[in-house]
Amino acid sequence: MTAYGANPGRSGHAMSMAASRAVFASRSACAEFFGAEPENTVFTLNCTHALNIAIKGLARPGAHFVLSDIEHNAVIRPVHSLKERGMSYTLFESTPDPVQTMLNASRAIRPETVALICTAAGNVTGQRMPLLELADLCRRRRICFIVDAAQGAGLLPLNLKDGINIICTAGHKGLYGPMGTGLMLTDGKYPLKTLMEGGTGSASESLEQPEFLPDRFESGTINTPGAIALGAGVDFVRSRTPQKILEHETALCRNLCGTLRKIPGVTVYSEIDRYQEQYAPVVSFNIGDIPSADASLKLSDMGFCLRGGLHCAPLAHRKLGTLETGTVRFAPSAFTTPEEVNRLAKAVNYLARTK
Amino acid sequence: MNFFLINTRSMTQAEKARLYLARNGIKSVIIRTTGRNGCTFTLKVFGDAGTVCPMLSRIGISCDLPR
Repeated sequence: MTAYGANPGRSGHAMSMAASRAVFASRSACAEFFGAEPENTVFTLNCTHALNIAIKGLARPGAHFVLSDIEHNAVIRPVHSLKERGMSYTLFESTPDPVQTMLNASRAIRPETVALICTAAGNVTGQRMPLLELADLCRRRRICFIVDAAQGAGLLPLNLKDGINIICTAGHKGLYGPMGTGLMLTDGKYPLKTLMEGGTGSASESLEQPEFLPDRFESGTINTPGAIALGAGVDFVRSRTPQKILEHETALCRNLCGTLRKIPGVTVYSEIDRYQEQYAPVVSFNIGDIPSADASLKLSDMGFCLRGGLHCAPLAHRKLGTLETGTVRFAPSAFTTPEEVNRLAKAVNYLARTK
Repeated sequence: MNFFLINTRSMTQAEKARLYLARNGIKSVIIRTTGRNGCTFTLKVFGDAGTVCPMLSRIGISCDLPR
């Protein structure tokens, strides 16, 4: 804010150009991280915004969408809202067996299907989806493959060159950017209608929204400090490497799962300690019959910041059988330490014994 | 020093071109201009169009020379 206090992509004076260069540097870093071109890398307000652009960009009369049965509200709500406009959707069952999951996904596709949307990893249990196989399925069936990468970006291999057509992600999770940032990255194969129109600082004589990206989907001033900071976050992830961060967080989650399972009255819903390859590092659990929101508050009083509730993922909770209770969710970062996890396990043990 | 102008369609495209040319030893600066398509970002390239334009076409940028 002190160095680039001007609006990027609008004026030609020195400060505006400096801001523009900083935004481009961040855009390039994000693009390279996901195998995209900078022009096809759009800064959004968050992952939900990116998903709305992608999903509603493909909407047309009679369109059908295929989704997994563990999608976040950021996916299911925009798709569900299209029913009012005569469109439809089908949920396919995701299972621990990738072959069965693929069969289920394939059977859900219809002639009028325009896209298959699924999460890279669920935000409740961390369940991973067979993305490469789904990308191949979508390519063969000539439908757009959109991945909600909010929970997996910065950890799991996610690249447009693997056949994903559109990646939507949050900036504030595994990419270590600020809240209020996100990305939509596209391979350009599926043109999208606009969600919003306005000033782009380009082709300004025309009353039509530009056809070219990223301007087409960046109307108005972007969150400039956020976009630049997001690039710094991506640089951090690259310096540590996603593989190392994933190893670190997976070890923490395996340790926590294994410890929590030994505590009487605690129910653990994640299985990363049993099937490491099938789960991203997230652990959901409940402490007896303590409502998850209450358990989260008690843990907060003890110095632990965990989210309790439905995590905006009712489909996942319905599948788990926790729609009434929600769960408490542990989601570590590159900075979480084994000592902190051990203290958390002791705190859960205390609550389980004294409830 | 000889130079020529290229109209790009956006700041993103202009900066992509500028950095690409710089990596190949060709200096350019981005100027905000108003032209036939309204406000635009013009690249002032210190080089020969016959050399530069084929280079830029390799990265998907065409030399839209202003009238």
